Amino acid sequence: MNVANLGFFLVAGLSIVSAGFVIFHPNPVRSALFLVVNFICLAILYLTLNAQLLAALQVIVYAGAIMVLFLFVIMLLNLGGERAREDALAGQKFAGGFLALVVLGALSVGLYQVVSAKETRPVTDAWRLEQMRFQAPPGKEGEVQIAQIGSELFRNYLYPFELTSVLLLVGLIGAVLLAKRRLPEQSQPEGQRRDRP
Amino acid sequence: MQITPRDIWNISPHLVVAALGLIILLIDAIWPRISKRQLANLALLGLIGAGALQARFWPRGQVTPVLGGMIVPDGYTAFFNLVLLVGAGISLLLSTDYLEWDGSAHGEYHALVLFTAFGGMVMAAAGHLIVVFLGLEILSISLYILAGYQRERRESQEAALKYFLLGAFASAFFLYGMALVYGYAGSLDLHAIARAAGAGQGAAANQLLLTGIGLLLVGFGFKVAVVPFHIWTPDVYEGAPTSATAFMSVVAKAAGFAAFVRVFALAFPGADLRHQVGAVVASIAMLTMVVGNTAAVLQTNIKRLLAYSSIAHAGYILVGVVAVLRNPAAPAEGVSAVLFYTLAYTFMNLGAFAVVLALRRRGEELLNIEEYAGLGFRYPWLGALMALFMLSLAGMPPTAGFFAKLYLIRAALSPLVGMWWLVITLALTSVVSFYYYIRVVTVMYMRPAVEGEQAPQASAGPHLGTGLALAALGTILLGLIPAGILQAAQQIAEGLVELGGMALR
Repeated sequence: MNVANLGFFLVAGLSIVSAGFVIFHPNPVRSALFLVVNFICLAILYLTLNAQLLAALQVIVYAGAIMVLFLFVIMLLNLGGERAREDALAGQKFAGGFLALVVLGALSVGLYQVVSAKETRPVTDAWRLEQMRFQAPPGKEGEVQIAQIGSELFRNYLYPFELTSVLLLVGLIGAVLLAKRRLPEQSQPEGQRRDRP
Repeated sequence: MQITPRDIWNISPHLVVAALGLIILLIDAIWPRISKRQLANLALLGLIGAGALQARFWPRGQVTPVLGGMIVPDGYTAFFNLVLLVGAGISLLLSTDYLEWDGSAHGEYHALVLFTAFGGMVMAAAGHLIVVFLGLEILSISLYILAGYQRERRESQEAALKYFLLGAFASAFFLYGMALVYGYAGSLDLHAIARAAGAGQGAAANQLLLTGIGLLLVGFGFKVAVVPFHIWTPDVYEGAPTSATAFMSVVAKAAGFAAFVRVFALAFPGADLRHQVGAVVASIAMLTMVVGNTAAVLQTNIKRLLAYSSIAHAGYILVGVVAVLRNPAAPAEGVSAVLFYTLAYTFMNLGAFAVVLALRRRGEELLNIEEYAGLGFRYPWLGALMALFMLSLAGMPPTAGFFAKLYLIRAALSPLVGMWWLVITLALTSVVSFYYYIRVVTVMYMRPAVEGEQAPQASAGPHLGTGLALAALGTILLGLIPAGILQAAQQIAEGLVELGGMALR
C-alpha cells in the first residue's frame, strides 16, 4: 500500500466515522459539527481526485454556508418559545425593489455583453471552450476547471440546471405552506368539515 | 450544444405545465381573493393546452434526443405525458369541491398539482439519469407537501412526515445507484450506459453495475410502491387529503413506471444481464401481488383498501416489466402492455376515489366500508359507477381493467419469458382481489342501511361530476374498444425498442 492509498483510507475512514457520529450523537449541535468534519473529509477526497474547484466549493458552500444555516436552525429550535418579532424592516419594500432593479440592470448588462460579443466572434469562444474541455494540459487542470464546469453546466446540463430551480421553488412553496402561521380568518374560508377547530 | 427553437418546441408541453404552475402561484399571490375554482379552471385550460401540444408527438414522435441527450421527445414520452396530463386534469376536477368543503382551498394546491405533473413528465421524457432524478425529486417533494396539506389534521402531518423521511431515504438509494452506474459506465446518459453495458464483457457479472441497478430498483420500487418498499403506502394514502391521495395514487405510479421501464429497457441491453435483473423484478412482482392482495382483504377503511389495491396493481404492472426484460425477441409487447395498463389504471382508480370524494356523513368523510350500506339504492348513479370502477379494478370483462390484465398476461406468457408461475400468481391473486372489490359492491347493494343512523349524503358539483364522468368514460371506452389505444401503444413500444437498438450502434 503506497502513501496515497494510505491517505485515502485514512480520510475515507474518518469520513465514515464522522458520518456515524452525525447520526448517533444525541446532541444536535455536536452532530452538526461532525457533519462539518465529514464535509471536510469529502473535500480532501475531491482534492485527491484533482478536483480542486469542487473541493473549494465543498468547503465554502457546505462546510461554510449550509452548516451555518443548520446550526442556526438547531439553536433556534433549542431556544424553545418563539419570540415576537417586530417588523424592524419597514423599509424592506423599497430596499427589495431597489435590489431587484440592480439585479435586473446587472443581468441586462451581462446579457448585452454576451449577445454583442457573440456577434463579433462567435466561433472563437465556442472553440476555446471546446479546447479547454478536451485538451486540458496536464498539471494545469485547476486553471481550466471553472470554465469547464461553467460550460458543462450551462451547455450540456442546462436543462437539469433549470429543473433544479423548479425543485428549489417547490421546496420553498412547501416550507411556506407547511410552516407558516395560521392564516387570518378572512383569507381562509371555513369549510363545512366537522373536525376543524 | 446549442439550444434551438426546435428543442424548445420539443419540450413545449413541459414548459407550459411548469409556467402554468408559476402563473397560478402569482395570480394567487397578487389577488388572494380569487375564487379557487377559477384557478382550477385556468389550470385545466393549461393542461388541455399542454395536452394538445403533446398530442402532436403522438404516436411516433421523434426518437433523436434533444437538449444534449437530456430529453427524448418520442412517442413513449408523449403517451406517458398524456396519461399524466389526464391524471392531473381529472384530479384537479375532483379536488375543488373537496377542498372547499374542507376549508383548505388555496392556490398552492393547484400549483403543486401542476408541478407534480411537470416532474412526472420530465421523468417520462428523460434520456439521462440526472434528469430522471430531478424529475423524481420535483414529483416527490410536491407530493410530500400535498400529503401534509391539511396542516391541522394530525393524520395528514403524520402522512407527510412518513412519506418525506422514507422518500428521502429512497432517493438516497437511487442516487447511490446512479453513482455506481456512473462508476461503471462513465456516463449517466442512457445511451452511453447502454453502450458500456452492451460492449463490456461480463456486464452480467459486474458487481459495480449490478449493485447500481439494484439500488436504482429500490428507488423506483419505493416510488411505485412495490413490496418490500411499500410500508409507507397505506398510512400515507389514509392520512393525506383524499383528493391528494387520488392524485398521487395515479401520477406517482405512471411517472415511476414510465422512467422505470425506459431506464431498464434502454440502459441495460445485454441479454444475460436482463435475464438476471428480470428474475429479481419477477420475485418482487410476485411478493407485491401476494402481499398487496392479501392485505387488502383485511381492510375496513376504503382509503387503505385502495392503498393496498394500488400496491397490488403495481405488482401486476411489474409482470409487464418482467416481460420487457426477459423477452429479447419481442420486448415491445411487454412495453405496450405496461402502457395500456397504466392508462386503464389511471381512469379506474381516479374513478373509485371520485366516488369516495363525493360521499359525506355528519360533516365527515365516509371512509368506513361498512357505512356504504344501502348506498346503491339511495344514489343509484353513484352506486353504479362505484360498482363499475370496482369491477374494472378487479379485472372483470368488458371493462378497461380486464383488457389491461389480459395484455399483461399475454406478454408474460411468451415462452421466452419462462415465468409461468408469475402468470399463475397474477391470476390467483386477481381472484383474491375479486373478494375485496366485490365486497364494496355487496355492501352497497345487498346490505340495508343501518336504522337510526343519519344517512350518508352525496354531493357532486359540476367539477366532481365532470371528473367522475371522464373517469367512467375512460374505463368503459378502454373496455369496449381497446384496439385503437393498444395499436398506438404497440407502435410506441416499437419506437422505444428501436431507440434501444440505436443506442448500441
